[in-house]
Amino acid sequence: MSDNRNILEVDRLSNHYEGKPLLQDISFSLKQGEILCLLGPSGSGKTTLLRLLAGLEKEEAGTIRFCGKDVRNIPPHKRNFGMMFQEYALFPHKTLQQNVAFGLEMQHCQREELTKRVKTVLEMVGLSGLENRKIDELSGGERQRVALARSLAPEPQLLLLDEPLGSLDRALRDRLTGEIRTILKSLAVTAVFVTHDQAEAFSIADKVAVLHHGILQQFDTPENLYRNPANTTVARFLGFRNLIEGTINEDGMFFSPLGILPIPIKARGEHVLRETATLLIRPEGATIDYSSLTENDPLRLSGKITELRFQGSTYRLSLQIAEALLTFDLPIDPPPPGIGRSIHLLLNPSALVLI
Amino acid sequence: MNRPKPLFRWLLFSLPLIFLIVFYFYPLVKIVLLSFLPEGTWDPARLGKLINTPIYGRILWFTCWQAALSTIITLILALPGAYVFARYRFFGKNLLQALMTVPFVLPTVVTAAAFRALLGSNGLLNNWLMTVFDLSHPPIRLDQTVAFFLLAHVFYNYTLVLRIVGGFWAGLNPDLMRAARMLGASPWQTFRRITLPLLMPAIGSSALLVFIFCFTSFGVVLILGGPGYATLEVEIYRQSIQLFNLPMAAALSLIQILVNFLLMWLHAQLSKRSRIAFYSDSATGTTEKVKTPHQKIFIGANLLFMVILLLTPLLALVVRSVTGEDGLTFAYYLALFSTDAKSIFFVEPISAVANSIGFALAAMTIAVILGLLASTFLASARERGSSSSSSFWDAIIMLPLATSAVTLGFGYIITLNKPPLNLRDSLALVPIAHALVAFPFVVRCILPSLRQIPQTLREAASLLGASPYQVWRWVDIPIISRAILVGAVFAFSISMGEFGASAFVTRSHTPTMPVAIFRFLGQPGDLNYGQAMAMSSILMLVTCSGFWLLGRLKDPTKTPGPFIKS
Repeated sequence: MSDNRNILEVDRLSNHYEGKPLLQDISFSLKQGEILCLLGPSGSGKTTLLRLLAGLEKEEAGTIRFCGKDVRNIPPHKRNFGMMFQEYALFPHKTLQQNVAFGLEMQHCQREELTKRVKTVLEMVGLSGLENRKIDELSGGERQRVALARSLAPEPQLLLLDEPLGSLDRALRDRLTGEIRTILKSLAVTAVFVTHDQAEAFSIADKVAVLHHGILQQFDTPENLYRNPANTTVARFLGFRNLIEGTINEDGMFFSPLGILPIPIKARGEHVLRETATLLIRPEGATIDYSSLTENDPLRLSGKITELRFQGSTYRLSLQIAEALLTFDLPIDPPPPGIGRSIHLLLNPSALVLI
Repeated sequence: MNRPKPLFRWLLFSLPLIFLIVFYFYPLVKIVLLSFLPEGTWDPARLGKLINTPIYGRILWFTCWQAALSTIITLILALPGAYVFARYRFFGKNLLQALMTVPFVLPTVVTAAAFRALLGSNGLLNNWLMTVFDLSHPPIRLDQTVAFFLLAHVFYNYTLVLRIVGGFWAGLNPDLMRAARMLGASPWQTFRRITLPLLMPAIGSSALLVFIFCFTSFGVVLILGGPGYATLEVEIYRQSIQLFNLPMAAALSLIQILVNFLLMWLHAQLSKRSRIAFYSDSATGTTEKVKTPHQKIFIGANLLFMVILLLTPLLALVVRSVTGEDGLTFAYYLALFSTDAKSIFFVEPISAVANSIGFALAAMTIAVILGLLASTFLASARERGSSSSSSFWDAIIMLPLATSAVTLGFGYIITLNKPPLNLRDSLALVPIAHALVAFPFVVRCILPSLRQIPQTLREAASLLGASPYQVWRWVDIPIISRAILVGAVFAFSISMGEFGASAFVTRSHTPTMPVAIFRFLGQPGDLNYGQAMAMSSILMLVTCSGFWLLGRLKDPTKTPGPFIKS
């Protein structure tokens, strides 16, 4: 990340399909060598955004600038962007080698140079020796690597990846996510990666853009995104369930069905006081409180266990407090009491976020 | 556990097998014998002499080049249409798609009549031009030229190519083309390097089918080509029916059988290889809207061509059937009910309609029963793991498809006219011939849907207490009911329009509709011509209405279920 200039600038991009807005006023920018994840549920417009960047679809309003140049009227084959497709879109009538070489052939690359380059790329993705395999003789993981190699071979200025791990099983997915990041980082490629999987996004991206209903909800680093979701939509999409509505006064006291909770300064954000707000309690931010000494601790919640599930590294526990139902992941020691029992939990101040 | 026992399976298959042996292999073997043993003695020299005559070579050459030319013209015209159908959405697409089935089910004789009605010397266009420009001779002189039946061949096969290639094209994952674009290929490079190679199996297979159809073209050439032109089929007919030169007809049939087997074998090989799994699931979600003016012109031109090619001959046929010298008239239809046409018929012509429907119902019944039995046998053979034996029997069942109807008809008249099987005067001969032609189609309709039923479904039923018969009755039959219906409609339509074999085996007292139309067209005079048009219109109505009804029925197998995927 030596170059600090913005390489990709998207400004107020909008797009419609049959009268329905797919994307509304999307703006963001990306630096050389950064990996951006477009994260969102299906139908959120993330694939449309990717295809607009690729030039496979036409935008209706807004601009896309790459290296300061407006790319709107450049057809996809002249953009020198690479793309990895969802089901890989490997050419079934060509061998592995021919697939990877296709982009280089289009650049009229010399035969010698081409062979060398294909060899390098295949080594990088760990497919050396399989050059003459047919596509239907490859496993899912191998196909994924061929697709990556094919899109990297012509040295694209921007690499677009459309749910490249979507059709693989979980274990393979986790391994390949790491590998892809390593490869992309070693080549310092700027990349945009579409996924609906939050874990995948977090482990691969430098920046994450959360899309919902065609609106860019938040654009941030993975850590900031997790620590401070911009709104309840983002929070829900990240899997947070403990969202409590209430009001807050100037002393930072939060009034809600849970009672009165003091909100730490850090968690207050830019919220205007005395406003209705939503409090997020992260599920991992609680411990069981057995002592009676802390009875007056303001960050103490009491309720009845309605559900308890052992998950390996944690217990997942549903707690009924007044009308609210909260979920917590508790450490396995000490083990919580059984269903129907009352319990006291002590909240970690950093587990509270006001949004 | 609940699969049919081997003996039972063979019992099921015995009926179709006996039928094939008696009504297919026996006549075919007789033709071969007649070729080599013309007078009951081994005399290949005589066969050699026949083959060495210039007529023989000329007919074979003519048959080949007209088929090749028809194929090339059809491909050139149909490929742009296939592209339009595969990639774009436009107003009236469903209607046009329904219209596409019409040439497929239209009897050859009707097609020939329709083209005569439109472009013949007595046809609508010529009549109109003569009136408007006050000409004394028809300006368009296509009658009895090669161009005339080539046109009819294009009419027939245009939609075939469009359906096969268009369907395949729509099934190609559009991401493949997008991937090529992203790798720097221009639209033209993408087409040449990716799309075209991927389409080749479909193009090759459809081209081969068109070639086969044109190679065995009979009715169209006989009616539109006139006496100057003869394909193998037409010549077999002339040699046997008009000249009574049976050894020559047999020698011609022999070459026809050989070439057809070769072509069908090629086609089978080609379609086997083209079954690579690169279809995307969402074939329907990939079409786009027409946007640029260029696209509009291109698509508009294609659609206009389709409508003109498909509709005008049929409209001309109907119009011509109600147009006499003094304008609108139903005289031709009424004439069908009179017995005045004694010179051609011994009965009133309208009885041909009753004959045809009767024969078609009988042929349909035979074909569906045989098809159901054979499909059950083939489907269970695969479940039992003996897939190689299954594909062998599958190929045997498909053989009648690779045999021209004319050859079959000729085989019948040289075998089934004397004991032990003297059916020459029996009414059964026509439905048997038709059933044999329709039988492979019925199997092709039923078998895929039977094979899609997962074995677990039957196992689940039998664990719930169903006997093998009950499993068949309440699991298999409901799932394949629509396929059976489609097969039945196919069989019915094939029988209604069948002309090649009918030309040989129909008796003069009981003509079928195509035979009656052919006789009318062969006679001079406006009344005969008009009656041919009227009869053709009726035949068109009957065959098309079956498929129209079929299209109206909802497809019960389209509900999401496990058997869609396999």
